[in-house]
Amino acid sequence: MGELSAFSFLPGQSRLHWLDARIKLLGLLLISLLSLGAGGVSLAVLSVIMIVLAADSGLSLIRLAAELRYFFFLLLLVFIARSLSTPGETVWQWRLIHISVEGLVSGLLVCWRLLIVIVAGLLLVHTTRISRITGAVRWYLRPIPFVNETRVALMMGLVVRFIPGLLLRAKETADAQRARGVENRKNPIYRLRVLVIPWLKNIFLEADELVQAMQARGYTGRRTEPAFSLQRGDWVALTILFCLMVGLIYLNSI
Amino acid sequence: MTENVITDHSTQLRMTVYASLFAALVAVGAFISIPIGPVPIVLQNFFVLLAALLLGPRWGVAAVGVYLLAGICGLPVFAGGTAGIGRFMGPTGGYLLGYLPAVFVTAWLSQKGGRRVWTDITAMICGSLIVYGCGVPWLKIVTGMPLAKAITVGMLPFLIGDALKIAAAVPVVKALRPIVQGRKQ
Repeated sequence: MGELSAFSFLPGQSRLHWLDARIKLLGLLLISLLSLGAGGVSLAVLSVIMIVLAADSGLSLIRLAAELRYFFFLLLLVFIARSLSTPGETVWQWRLIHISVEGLVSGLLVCWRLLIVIVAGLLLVHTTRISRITGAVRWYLRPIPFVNETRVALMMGLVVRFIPGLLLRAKETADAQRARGVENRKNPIYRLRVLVIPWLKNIFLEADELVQAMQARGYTGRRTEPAFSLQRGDWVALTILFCLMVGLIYLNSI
Repeated sequence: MTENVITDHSTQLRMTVYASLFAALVAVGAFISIPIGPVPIVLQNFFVLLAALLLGPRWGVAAVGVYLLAGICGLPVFAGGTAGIGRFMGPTGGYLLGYLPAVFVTAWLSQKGGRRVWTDITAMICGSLIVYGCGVPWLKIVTGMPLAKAITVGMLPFLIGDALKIAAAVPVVKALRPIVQGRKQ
């Protein structure tokens, strides 16, 4: 459970750290969308960019691989499913199972795309403070009607704040139940009930304390927002991003 | 008048915090499993259903929406600690997107049914089916497997767990509703 902390902000001085959070968020969304229909050449371009950015922000490939170790299982699963189910020229056959060239290629492409998007997301989280990310989200949500962007940003901040505490409380409650011999009970509904009810009761009471603390401090939606201003480097990054987008769309279309 | 404004403000704040709490619970639910049988029970969709029954349609949708938005923005909230919009494009993305209509329909049905036990159960069954209705076709498209196989991989192993979760949700909701609703008014 402590592994969660691996996905967090790492202070640094790299170009990505200095870049405006709004541009980083836009870049993440664009890369995600562009990689959808991307072929091998575009993916190679994106991979080189990711590796350069990761190296520049002080994130080693070994560390990336360590953080993605669970994700690789998912990729493997997708790859196997793809290569088994796509019809085409057979490479290897055993009874009903046959692997085709087309299947291998398309499986590889799908995994490559997913990997690039995940690495891009990791880079964003590693180089940007949560307050900056939520600030950028607020900035993007502002023109959308019927969405209270301040509340959404507050909620996102609260979510991140709640997660470690929830895991800790869940472990405490599970330990308490184990001490009372819950493992001798086979009925899963009973076990779910005795775990969830005390756990949720406790965290609701804690949430109430948080509400009271916020009210006592006169919390309203009006907060000092993180100030965003685009520097010269940000404009350069935005231009590069735009060129990249046009280039990749062109590459995908030929 | 002033008093009304104050209570309204404090209700809003309380529900905002509760909805965030449920968004965090949905995120955490992916890590908390009860090892029973070959497929362990993961609590993620259990919390989606709980959010629907305890928070109502509006705040339930807000909770799930914020969870998904946090994931899109790259915060590490999805199963396995991965995040980013790529997760939606991945094989399990349909389940995530399915939570949104599921939480709304479940909450709406439960509200219409007067929050009685049987209507709650029906609402939760409908909600679970909506999640699979979005998740299984998505799994089929992304991985390219035939529909029958997508159902055997992406739906059948989880049905027993879902039935257990729905059964467990009834006493949990009964115990927690006074806490949430009592303070809501």
